[in-house]
Amino acid sequence: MIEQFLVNLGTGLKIAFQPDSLLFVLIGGAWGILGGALPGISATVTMTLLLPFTYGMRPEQALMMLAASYTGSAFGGAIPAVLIRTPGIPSALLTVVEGHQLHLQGRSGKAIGMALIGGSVGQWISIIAMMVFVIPLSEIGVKFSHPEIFALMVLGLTACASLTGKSVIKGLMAATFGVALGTIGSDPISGIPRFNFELREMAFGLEIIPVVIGMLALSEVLRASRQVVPWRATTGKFSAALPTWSEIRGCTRAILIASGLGFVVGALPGAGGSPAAFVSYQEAKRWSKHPEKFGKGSIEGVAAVETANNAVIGGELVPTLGLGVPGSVTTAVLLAALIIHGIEPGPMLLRRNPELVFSLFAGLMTAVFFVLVMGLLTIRPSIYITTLSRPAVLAVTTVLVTVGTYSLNWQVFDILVAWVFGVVGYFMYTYGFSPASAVLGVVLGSLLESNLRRGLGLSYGDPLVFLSRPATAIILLVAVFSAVYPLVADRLAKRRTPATAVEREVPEELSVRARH
Amino acid sequence: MDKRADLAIAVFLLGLSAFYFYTARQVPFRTQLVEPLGPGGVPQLLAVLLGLGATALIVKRMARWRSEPGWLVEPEGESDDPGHPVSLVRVALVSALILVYVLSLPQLGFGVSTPIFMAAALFAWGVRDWRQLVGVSLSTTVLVYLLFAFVLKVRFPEAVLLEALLRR
Repeated sequence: MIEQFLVNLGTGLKIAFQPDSLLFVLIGGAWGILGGALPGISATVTMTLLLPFTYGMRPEQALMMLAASYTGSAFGGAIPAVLIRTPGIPSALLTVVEGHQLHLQGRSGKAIGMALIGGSVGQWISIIAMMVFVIPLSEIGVKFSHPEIFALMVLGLTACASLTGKSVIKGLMAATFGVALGTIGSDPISGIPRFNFELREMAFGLEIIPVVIGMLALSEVLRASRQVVPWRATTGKFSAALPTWSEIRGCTRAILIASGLGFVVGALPGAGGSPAAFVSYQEAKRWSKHPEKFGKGSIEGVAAVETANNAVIGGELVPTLGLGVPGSVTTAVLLAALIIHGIEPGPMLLRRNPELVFSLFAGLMTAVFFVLVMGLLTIRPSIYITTLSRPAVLAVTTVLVTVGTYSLNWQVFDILVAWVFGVVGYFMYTYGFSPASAVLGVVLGSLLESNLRRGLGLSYGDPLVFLSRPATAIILLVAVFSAVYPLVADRLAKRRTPATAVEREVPEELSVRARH
Repeated sequence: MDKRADLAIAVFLLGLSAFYFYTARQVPFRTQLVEPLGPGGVPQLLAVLLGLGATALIVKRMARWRSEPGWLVEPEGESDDPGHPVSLVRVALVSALILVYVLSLPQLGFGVSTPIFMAAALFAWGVRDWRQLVGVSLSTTVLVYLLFAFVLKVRFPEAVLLEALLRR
């Protein structure tokens, strides 16, 4: 087994260190830093915009580029959080609390630098932990049959759907809608046409990329059109001075705690960066020698939050690669990339395509290094982020969406699909139906249906097969719990007095949207 | 959020789920393959789930109708930034501009449609400085074309109408 591991790792490293692979990782990382640094462009949207351009790549390179983008975004989100008091990604909210205070004290470079260093350490640790856990998890998953895989797909949908947005019912409906979209085209088992309304372009169903890019990116452009809100101008004195070795050493405990917490929380499907960041922040404050500095510009606070934000990446990839259950909507985009390249995600991924998984491991480690170097070079020019015109960014995003979607099949129909789902996504955002949940449904829908039907086929139509098999029953129970728990927790929270200690530290005017 | 709009959307979704169910019934339930559920089974199940969800939303909204004064309630979707007016006209305008841009691409080509779209969209988003309108539009068009046509080897739509006009 160790021998096989080393052989696979060698193959992965060989693929990851090819010149074109390195170039794609570099581009992905740079793109991610840029996207993460622009408020309103989340890590998921940044990755989604790259999706069409990975269509012609080898699957390993596509995955490495997208993962590198995620890595870059996780750091990039700290830049506007520090400089203009606006998180570039939602989980950077607490970086605003501490980092912006540091910026006002003339210590911007220390805040951004610590975000970069803590984030890089967090990612490396979580990627190594991911390698350790994915393999045994996949070995368990390989023993799963169709009922278990169906249950895993249900868990993936309910876990994420129930955590995005304020209404669990709407989140689950959005996920169901996404699965329903996946039924358009030819039936996955018999091949007969369904819901194509006699349109030639829909004979094989809707292409995933236009639907995803419309719902996540174009809808964001339309949503941003509701108001003309210029990005806040930066105030305070900018300084590019990096943290000293003594300051970095002082944050070691916070970084190690946050790395572990970030990885564990990230591995819970649907949890994401925000809970990891909050928990790590609280623990860092509890164990800090200077807890009185928290809330007033604590470099340890920045280290804890950003380390956790970055460490979730490795955690999220554990269920994504090991079982085919996306750890978050962002990793669902990675699964979409796999499907586009004709690779079925699931427990068999590691067994059937070991070179893909191991090259992703190696590519991620490379990406972290590249982002570290690029990040250090970015600190000084980062002040110019605030001078970018928001309308210009939106216009460029729209053009990139258009060109990227057209490049798939050279069909205007695909761009029209993206436009339709951009409008649908806008209404979904506005009325509380999470487009992210719908995208999950689109990505997982076909697998869910085919495994449900094959599972029933195994039992000659007896639906009790999903309850009589212990693993299936347990997974479905967890899925039901993940759907019901937020409803119950919400009712209990309304009866309690509001505002925990952490929430009190977050200024009221900062409203963070649970945006993917 | 306007609770009337929220209710209307829930009713629309109930209607959509009914339509989906009806259309799913047209799909053959059985095929030559031995399989309990068939191609029409899962869509019908999904339609029922969507219908149940829509019904729950309608019941929930109606139950709270009287207890929530006025038409506006706490938004369940994305919150707007306080202190800045919301313009649905701008959303509709930008959406229409994007549609026109997409439809004009195969007729006028990337080089003509894109700068026109960008200038119009920037104007809709509040940019009034003509240098920014012209500069951003043209520079983006050129840079995107160079990057995608020559580096990424992406094929652009042919300007059918423009070419026909130029041939005359």
